[in-house]
Amino acid sequence: MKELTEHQVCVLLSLSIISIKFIVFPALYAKFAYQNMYWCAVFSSIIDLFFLGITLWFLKRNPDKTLKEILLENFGKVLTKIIYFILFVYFFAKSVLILKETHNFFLSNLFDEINWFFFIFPFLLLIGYMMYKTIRTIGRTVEIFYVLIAIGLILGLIIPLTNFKLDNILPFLNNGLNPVFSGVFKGNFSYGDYLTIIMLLGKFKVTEKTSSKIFKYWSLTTILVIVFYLTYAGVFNVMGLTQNPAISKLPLNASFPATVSRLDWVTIIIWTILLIFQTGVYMIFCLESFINFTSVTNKSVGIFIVITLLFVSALALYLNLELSVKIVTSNVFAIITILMQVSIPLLLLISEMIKKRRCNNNDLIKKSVKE
Amino acid sequence: MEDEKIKKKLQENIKIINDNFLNSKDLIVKTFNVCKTKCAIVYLKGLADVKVISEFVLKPAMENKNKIKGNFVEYIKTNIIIFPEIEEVQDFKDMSTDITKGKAFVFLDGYNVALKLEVDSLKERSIQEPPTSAVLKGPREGFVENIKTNIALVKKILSTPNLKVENLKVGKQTNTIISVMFLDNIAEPEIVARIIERIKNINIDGVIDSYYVAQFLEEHRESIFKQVGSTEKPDVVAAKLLEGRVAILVDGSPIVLTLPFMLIEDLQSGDDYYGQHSHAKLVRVIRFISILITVLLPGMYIAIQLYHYKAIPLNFLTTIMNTTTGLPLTPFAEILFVLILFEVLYEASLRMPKYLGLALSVVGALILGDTAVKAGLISPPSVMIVALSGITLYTVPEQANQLSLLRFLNTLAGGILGFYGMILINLFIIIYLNDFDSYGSAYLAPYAPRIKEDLKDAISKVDITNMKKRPKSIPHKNDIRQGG
Repeated sequence: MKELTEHQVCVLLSLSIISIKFIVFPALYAKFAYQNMYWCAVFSSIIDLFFLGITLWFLKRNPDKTLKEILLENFGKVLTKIIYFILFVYFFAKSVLILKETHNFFLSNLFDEINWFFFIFPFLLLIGYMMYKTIRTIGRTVEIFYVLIAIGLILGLIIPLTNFKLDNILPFLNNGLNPVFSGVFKGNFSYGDYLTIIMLLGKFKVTEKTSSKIFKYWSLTTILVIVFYLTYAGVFNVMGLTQNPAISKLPLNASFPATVSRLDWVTIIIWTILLIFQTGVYMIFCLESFINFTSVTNKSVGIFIVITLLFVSALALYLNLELSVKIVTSNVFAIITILMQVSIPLLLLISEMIKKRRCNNNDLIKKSVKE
Repeated sequence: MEDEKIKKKLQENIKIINDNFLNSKDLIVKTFNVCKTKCAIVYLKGLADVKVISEFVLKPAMENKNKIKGNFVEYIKTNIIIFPEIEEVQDFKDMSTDITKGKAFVFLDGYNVALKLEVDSLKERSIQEPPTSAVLKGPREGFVENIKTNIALVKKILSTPNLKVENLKVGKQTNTIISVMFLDNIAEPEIVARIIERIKNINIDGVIDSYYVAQFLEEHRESIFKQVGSTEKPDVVAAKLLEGRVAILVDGSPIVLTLPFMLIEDLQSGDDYYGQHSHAKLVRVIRFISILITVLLPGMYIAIQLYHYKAIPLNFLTTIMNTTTGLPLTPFAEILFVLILFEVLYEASLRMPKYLGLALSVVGALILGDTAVKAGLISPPSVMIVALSGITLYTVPEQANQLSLLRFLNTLAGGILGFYGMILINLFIIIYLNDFDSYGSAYLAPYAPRIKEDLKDAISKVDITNMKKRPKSIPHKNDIRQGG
């Protein structure tokens, strides 16, 4: 019996696509491409689609193998450990960023002031509990919330529509494609969601329809993301570079001038749930990677170490979101992220080629033995 | 005595029985003759029906003047003791238990058999509508304390030879009969075997009620959540058996347990299936909203007052501010105080004699609440919020205890960390619930994992003609419900 169902995988992928993109990244894209910032989302999505295609192609050929099995089979122990270490750093950085985004999101929406310890301590406790439970439990839990999250998101998009001005997104690509590509380069950290599927390889039953289902969910969610960025540009124009966090500023600035009696607080709560889940999912991936590149076999010890690392990172950055964003969007980090996002699907391709070569060799040996 | 065979000599048998009952004065041994053969009837005073014994055993025996032809035991069974339920036994196994349950045994001198007679005199409660699950439409019969009657009530609805009943005895001192009931052609044998095994492993001195057994059947004993279904209605049991569940009947208890159990079951009511499905749909949504109100409202009220006043419309905020200004208690302490007061009133009204209960509700709800508001100790919105959450609590009475506990948890979380605390605590609970399965069924199914087919009978409900297959959430053998 597999840990996850097809539907749960699709939902986990969808949540991964929307979670990180709606808070600080719209403002970041706006910094480079101004009113054309939504083109950053379009191009990033096209790149993601290419790698998602590779992932789905691989999934069809290897429906039952886990990432660990594939890596060990084709690249040996040492390289497997290195890859898992890189994956750990990648998902850990994503978790730290979401943790900081969540804190920032809380400060700007739910509380006037919140002691960071009161925020982080129960948060880490819940994340630790999520890590202690299996991905099966988390998969089931997100299934309960995904409809709610979708409704929240759509509501968050409908509310600001009254302030959408077509003039704000015109003229199209007036500064050429360079600013857009700069945005794509700097903001690539928020993409690469096919890695979620790669981490879940072998944990769900693959059927004939799996690829098309995953693609359907990916397409719908990506369209939603692009529409969100388009709406953001249409409402804020060049002012978009200061609107942070986007998911909250968009409905607030668009419809309600007063800070009291906001009607979008339901959306805010749903969004908070989504961010917590996404941190949990990434931390589960972190734990899996951590166990695979270290000799720690005890799950509880692994959880304790990873959670402590997250706590220390939060402490080191003192919950400073700007600093965290600066780090993950720095040139060095951006290059590392791109390498990561490109190398893992490529490794899958290479492993498939190695497998094919092995099969050919085996066939040749069999032929020669027969002769 | 249990392993001993019945002796041929009457006196020896009487001695064994007497020794076993420590020569109790309540044990009656009445000797009589049937055509010169000495017989004795043994029963416990007060438990067996003396009138029945005199009328149907002693009187015909003494009046018999016919000569016995053929087998003596058979002659007695067919001509003297004319009883519908008469059983021949060869040993003393279970005899003491049977005697303590009101049965009588007839020993015959020269024969190593005894006749067991069902002569228990204890009056049982008549079949009534259960007070906890009253319905507007549909059958009104409820279970009673007698297991035989309860089995018959279910058999009356499910008149099929596929309905199997496995009888077990649990309790070293009570020797309580527990019947495991299931439909042989529907229930998953593995689940049935697991349940029977668990019951067999119960090692306790006494089983007083079915909840004693329920606690042994729970797979997560440390949990505060209900894990075994329970009902007082035979129609509900029959419907659950038809879905592939297993029913557990305990002698002496009108509550029948059902397994596997899923949380959604308590949202469903018998009424939903006997009326229009569109109405059932509406009622179920209302029940679900009521659960949310019960659990979340007090916590949300505190969170909004303390941390998130921006979330509510200005007019509403002004009204709350006007009514809460000058109160000696913080919003958190105020709601906690009213909640505790509510729980105290509830407990007291449950245990008080009926005629005092009415007076208590007047004193508690009207005088105490009204005076506290007028004295400026608590605000009217707090009373209203707790009262509303108290009323909604009983839209799902089966879950009232759990919901009440969750309400307290959410109130604490809302008071300490506002919406953030409430989000965390509820996520924690949902993740926790998602982790446990009850005998092969996911606790939060059909929502987690999502089972599309079963959503037809969840918070929303479709017409019965559209429910062509059995719920996939419950392990079963035969999938087809209609048209098969």
